Order: sequence, then C-alpha cells, then structure tokens
Amino acid sequence: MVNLERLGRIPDNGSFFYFRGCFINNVYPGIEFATRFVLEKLGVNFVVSDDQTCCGTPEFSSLNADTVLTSVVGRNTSIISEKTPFVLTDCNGCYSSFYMAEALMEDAKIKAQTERILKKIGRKFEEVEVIHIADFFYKNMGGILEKTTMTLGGMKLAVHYGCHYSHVDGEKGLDSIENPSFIEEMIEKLGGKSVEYTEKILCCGFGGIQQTVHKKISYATTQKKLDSLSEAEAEAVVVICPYCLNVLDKYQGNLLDVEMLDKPILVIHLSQLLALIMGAEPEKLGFQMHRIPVENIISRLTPKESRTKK
Amino acid sequence: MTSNTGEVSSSEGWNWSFFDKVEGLDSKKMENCFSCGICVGDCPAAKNSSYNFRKIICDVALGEEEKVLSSKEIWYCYTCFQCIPKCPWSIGIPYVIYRLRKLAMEEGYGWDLIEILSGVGRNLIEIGLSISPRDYARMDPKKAEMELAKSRLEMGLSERYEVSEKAIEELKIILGETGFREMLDNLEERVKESKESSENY
Repeated sequence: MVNLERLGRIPDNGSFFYFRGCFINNVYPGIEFATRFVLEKLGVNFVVSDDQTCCGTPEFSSLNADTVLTSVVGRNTSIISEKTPFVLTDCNGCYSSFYMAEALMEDAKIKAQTERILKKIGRKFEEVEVIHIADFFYKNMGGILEKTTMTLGGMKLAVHYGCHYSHVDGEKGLDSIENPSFIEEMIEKLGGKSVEYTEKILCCGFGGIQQTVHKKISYATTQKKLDSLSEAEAEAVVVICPYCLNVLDKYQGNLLDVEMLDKPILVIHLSQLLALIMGAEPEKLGFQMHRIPVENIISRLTPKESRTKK
Repeated sequence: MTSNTGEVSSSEGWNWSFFDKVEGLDSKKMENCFSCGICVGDCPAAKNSSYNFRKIICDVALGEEEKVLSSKEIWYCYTCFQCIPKCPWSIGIPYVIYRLRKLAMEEGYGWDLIEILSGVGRNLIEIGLSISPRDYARMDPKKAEMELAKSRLEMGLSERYEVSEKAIEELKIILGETGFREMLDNLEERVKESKESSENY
C-alpha cells in the first residue's frame, strides 16, 4: 500500500531542484539524459545549479566525525533552498545522504557543531523536501502514460529498489519496507509483466566499502541476488540507483564469463526505461556504458498503436 | 562473554566504560538489545561473514575494548541500513558501527581497509565531486575521460560535469573545519608508508 501522506507531499506543479549526482554524471550520464528527457516530456519545471557539490557520500562517515556528512548536506540544502524547497534525485546514494544527515542532526552535539561550521561560510542547514525520482514518476503516472509511444510488450521485469532507498527513511517512505510494489504497478500499467523474486530486499552487493575490501562477501551477495532473479525468469531488472546498476551489471558480466550464471539479466535504471518508451533515442541513453547489452529490451518494445489495433 | 554459537550470557558483569566512549548509545535499552537479535536475521553481512551486531554490542558492554576495536568484524557491515527500520530499540546500528570504526582508527586499526576512500576523499576536496570520470574507467583513464566527454556532448549535456569555483572554496573551508582534510592527509601518509615498507621487502 502506497503511503498517501508521502505522496501528498510531492507537489503537482511548481519548481523542482534536480540534484545531480557525480556517479551518474561521470559514469552513467545516460541516466541524467533520461531523467531530464522524462521531466521535459512531462513539462516539469526544474532547475540545476553548479554551486551544488557531491551529496556528501555516506561512506565518508567512516573517515571522520558525522559532521562531514551533515556539513556537506547542510551546504547543499542552503544552495537548493535559494531556488525551491523541492529536490529531485535519481540516485539512492544522494537520497540517503539527505535522510542520514537529517537523522544525525537530531543529535544536539552534532547539530551545534554543524551549525558552527556552516556559519563560517555564511550558510545554514535548511529544510528541504527530498523526493526520489521513482516516487515522483509514480505520482506523475498519468502524464507518463499519456506521453509514452511504446509499451513494454509483455516483457518480464523485476525491480530492485535498493537499500539506501528502502531503509533510510523507514516508515516515512512511499511504500512498504518489506515488500514495496509501486514500481511493479507502474510496469504493469506500461504493458510489462512484473516478476516477484525471493531476494527482492537483498542488497545488490555494493555494501559500502565491501565491494572493494571484501570482494568475496560482496560477490556472494550479488550472486544470490542474480540467482534469485534468474530463478524467477526475469528478463531485466529495473533499478533506481546508479551504484546498484553498476554492481548488478558489472559483477554479472564477471559471473557470466565464468559460467556461474546461465543467462544475462539486463539492468536498467527506471529513468532510462521510461525515456525509452517515451521516444528517446536509445543511443542517447548511454547503454554503451553497460556491460550487459540492453538491445534485447529495445527490440521487445511494441508501438502503442498495435495494441489498439488488436 | 559470547560463545561461538552467538549465544549471549548475561551472567558476566557489564563494564560500561568502553560503552560510554561509543557515543550515542543508551545503556537502558541494552538489556533488550542483547536478548533480541532481529537485526541479525536479514543482515547481508551476517549471511556472508562472521559479522553479528549483537555479539559486537555485547562485547562493547563487557568492556572488551581491545577485542572489539582490533576485530575484523566491525569492518564487515554493509551500511545498507536494513537494520534501521527493523531494530525495535532504535539503536541506529550503522551509526554505532561508524563510531566503532572511528575509535578503531584512533588506535591504528583499519586504515588499510579505507584506503579506497582516500581517492574519493581527495576528489571531493579538489573537484567537489567524489567520483571523477577516471575512477570507474574500463580503459585507459585518459581515454575514458575523452570518451565520456564525447558521449555527454552527444546527449546534449555539458562536456564535463563541473562544480563552481565558489562551491569548491566553500567546501574546502567546511571540510577543513570538520577535520576531514587532516584525516585525509593522515590516511594518505599511512597509505604511502605501507606502500614503501612493502617495497622494501
């Protein structure tokens, strides 16, 4: 069941700040192209700013006091609120930075230190409403359906929501923590067949520093995830985070190389999927950066007219 | 003490001196925590390694400072936050792990494990972004940077994703104030030292 209170906090119109992530821009720019494409098709008024920096990367908390995250996030909220209080992000990492910083600011000591630090640059931690792009697209499903030129052609798609989307804001999130299903609902409406699988909630395997320092345990998680997707006969898995995309795509390539997985499962960001069926040129969606070729998805899409002719 | 099966015995006396050093923990909640274990059930780290938060926190409350800080277990947490909504006692487990890692580093442990963060940390200070076009390159980094710029232009995006000078200046100030820059210098020094000593072998 979708949390209507949360859905209601997403405004129908007005101006939004598109928070650009460094992983998307410097590794998967096709996701940024896709997000912009869908927002423009929907006629959404959004701004960006070069004064925005990296979100603060949650993992830096390992390096130092919690004030690194709260100060970097705080500075960004100050830049954002100069334009609008509503922020859109297409990365679970950026999304979680905002919510983690908010949680850390409940500690009086951290709050006081952060305020002192931000004062040095004449800024304040401002209140902003951080909206994940998946939530925003769900809210705008009507507009999306109107603008699509193709359907998903009955393709079997599974969804991986990702830890730093599902677990950071707990009960305040848009959907159930244990079994979210709003993206599956979107897939069905767009002419796809949504597929359930046992390890839906399991982490992609990235695990913060684990994918670098403990590759063996990180791989074991990714393989478990992919095995479960494979068992459910998913043709593709839709993600909402570039890090999950990277891990599921890159590791999968390695597993296929050593025949530890039979069939490739395409990995695609929700923004890329929506842009595709809304008429974006596939060449612009950055699929050349993916290790598992996405061509199969493209060949399965069906023009919308053919459905009405039947 | 904890046994190998993960059973926790409460017959031993607690010693809260180390516990108090790990800020943000409430001793009143702890008896509940020790007898719970909900966080371990679906924990991806617990499934694939010897990580078990309940055992770690018990050792903390037993005052086993050296044992916990020198352990490899505190570095297995995925910081996936799955335990945050699950924990009935609102312990904020990943934040406790972050603090334990920080205390461990103060004692000289774990520096080799966070070497990866020195590159992204330096990126943050220098370009205001943690990931640069060269970091995830599947080819020669210089070539990757050129390929990325080409793709970005074809997509109608700017050739490079750049943060303003003003933003980088402000970021430098706040990262200095948080102690991040000093920490990073330390980290780089240690990485250099360990590389030199391995070269001497």
